[in-house]
Amino acid sequence: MAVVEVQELYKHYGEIRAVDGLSFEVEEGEIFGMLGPNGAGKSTTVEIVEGIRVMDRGVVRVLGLDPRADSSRLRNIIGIQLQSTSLYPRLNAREHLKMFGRLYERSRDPEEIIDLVGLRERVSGLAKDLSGGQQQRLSVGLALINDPEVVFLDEPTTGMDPQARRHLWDVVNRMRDRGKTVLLTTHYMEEAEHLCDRVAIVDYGKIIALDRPRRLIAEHFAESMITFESDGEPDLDELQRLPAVTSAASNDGTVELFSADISSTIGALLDYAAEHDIRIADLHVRRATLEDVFLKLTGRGIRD
Amino acid sequence: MRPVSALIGGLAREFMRDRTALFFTLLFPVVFMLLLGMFFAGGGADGSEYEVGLIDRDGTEASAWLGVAIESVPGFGVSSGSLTEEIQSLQEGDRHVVVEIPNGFAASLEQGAEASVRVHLDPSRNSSRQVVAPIVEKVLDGYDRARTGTPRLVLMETVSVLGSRLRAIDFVGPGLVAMSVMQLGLFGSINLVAKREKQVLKRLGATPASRWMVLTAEVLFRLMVTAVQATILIVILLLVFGVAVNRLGWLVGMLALGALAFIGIGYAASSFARTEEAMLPIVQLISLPMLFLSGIFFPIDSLPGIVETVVRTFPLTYFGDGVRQLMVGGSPLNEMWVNVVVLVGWLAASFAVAVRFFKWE
Repeated sequence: MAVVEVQELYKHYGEIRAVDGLSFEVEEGEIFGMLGPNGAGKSTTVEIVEGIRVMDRGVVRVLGLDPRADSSRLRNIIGIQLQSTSLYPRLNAREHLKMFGRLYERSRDPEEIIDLVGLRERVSGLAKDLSGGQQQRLSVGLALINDPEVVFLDEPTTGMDPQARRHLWDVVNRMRDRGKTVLLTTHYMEEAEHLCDRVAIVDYGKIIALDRPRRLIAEHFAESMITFESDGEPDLDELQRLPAVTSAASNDGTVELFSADISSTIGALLDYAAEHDIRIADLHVRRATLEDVFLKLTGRGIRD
Repeated sequence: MRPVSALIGGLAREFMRDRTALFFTLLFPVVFMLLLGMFFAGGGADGSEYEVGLIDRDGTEASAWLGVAIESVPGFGVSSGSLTEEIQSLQEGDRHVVVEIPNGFAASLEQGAEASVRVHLDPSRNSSRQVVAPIVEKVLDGYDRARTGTPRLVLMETVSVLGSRLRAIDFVGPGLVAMSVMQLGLFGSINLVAKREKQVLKRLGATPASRWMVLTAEVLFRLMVTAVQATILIVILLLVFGVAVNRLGWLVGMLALGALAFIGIGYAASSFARTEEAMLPIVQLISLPMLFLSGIFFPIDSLPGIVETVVRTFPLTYFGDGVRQLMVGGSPLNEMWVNVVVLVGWLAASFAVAVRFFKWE
């Protein structure tokens, strides 16, 4: 069953088409990610789905409800984390959770949430004294206080160190284990790849690809990527003619070869280097990532 | 109403932890009132402006009535003692004049002879020479005429804007209460703007709490703070300066009405400010002209015509007058119903604007 349904969603700000005909569905119990650069329209889309922003046109249903018309019913059963942390500077974590709990018809035990998001040690620190990552965790905790069926997380790991990020991924995975649905936005490729069941790649207000992360990669890159640095200027045309190579590119001295058969390509590459007296350094083989998919689809990096 | 009480609880906690807010909203007005009160009260223990020492050597009914006549002069604080004590107080500057009713005062009057009442004063003190001594002379004159039954044909009718029995502190005190209520109402909106700027309001808007609940909680909390502050100020006026509180029930209603009107004006203005920094000058632009021109420190009849017309639109003019009338009486600037109607008008208009233009972000 689709928990979130979005059809032909449009939102303009003056001349800017922030959301330009988006359609997608989020299934019950899945972690759905919207991946794209800043300004791609992810937050606008999510806020329309949450009912805190008005769309120009389109159809949006969350748990079968209209986010604007049925907002009071819907707000009780969804959890929202905004991109900004939006905390009361002089309240601590426990006070935040208790206060927000009383705004909902049902509430989880604040102590449980404190442990869940790992704020036990800073539980009585005022929000203004918490680090950015801790504030972010509290803000995610607040989104869970009403034990929501669907949780919306807008860039939940921005400003977190890698350890805190992994911890938050655990929290999100536990949400799925409880049978909840999660819709999150991110501009971290690894996050989308590791965490999400399905990913929608968003650019200029449009979804340009939507699938499971592995299938997105497999669909666009049957090959693996071989990268290396060299002191000379290798001839890309010649590299292109090496066995099993499908494409070759040079980027700031780093050469990237896509290969359908790594072992034959690498053997030939080393022979080629010895023959032409080229020193090869920092040789890597890796699978393609969502970053490569994004690059291939849009012609630019996600952080450009 | 559970969400509203939860939100009020959060606001109260934040407020109590914000020392700057505490100082400026609660302590500062109290300090200000004490300082101004001391100044306007002239330092007298019972709030009198002029200290008169009275020595009644005669001890008759006639001399006692003269004493009462002197004591009834507004602004006169009368104390009695021996001549030496009173003269010493005079020399130390604690008395403006010392009035000595001589022995045989009544007897002389009986016989139709002159009786001389001695007024001791320090001629270097202008107020003693120019104000107090002439008043004492007038009292003696009036006493004399009343005793002999000579009718006074030429009368002077004094029309005082202050009301005949009012001291300066009676005028300024209620004005200060009104002023503090206004400041608290207006400045509360800065907090609202800060919450909108930091997207706390947007976050609340993402919960089931409606904008009505959020605004109700804000307004009720502001009313509570106002109640605490007004109570402190009125108790100080009552106990320290002896300012009357004639109609407490109505006063509470008037304070609530004024507080709501100014909270509303603040919130209405806050709809048009994006940032806390932008809001502060707006609030000052609203509050400063009212502070200086609304008849808090002096009657507005003394203003030039055009300025008075402008001042007549200020809500603080009506609020201050209403509070003053209900506390100490005196000569009203407006009928009470005019004050109430104008304030209700401001209240309705400002809340209409505040609700119409309210933004979560």
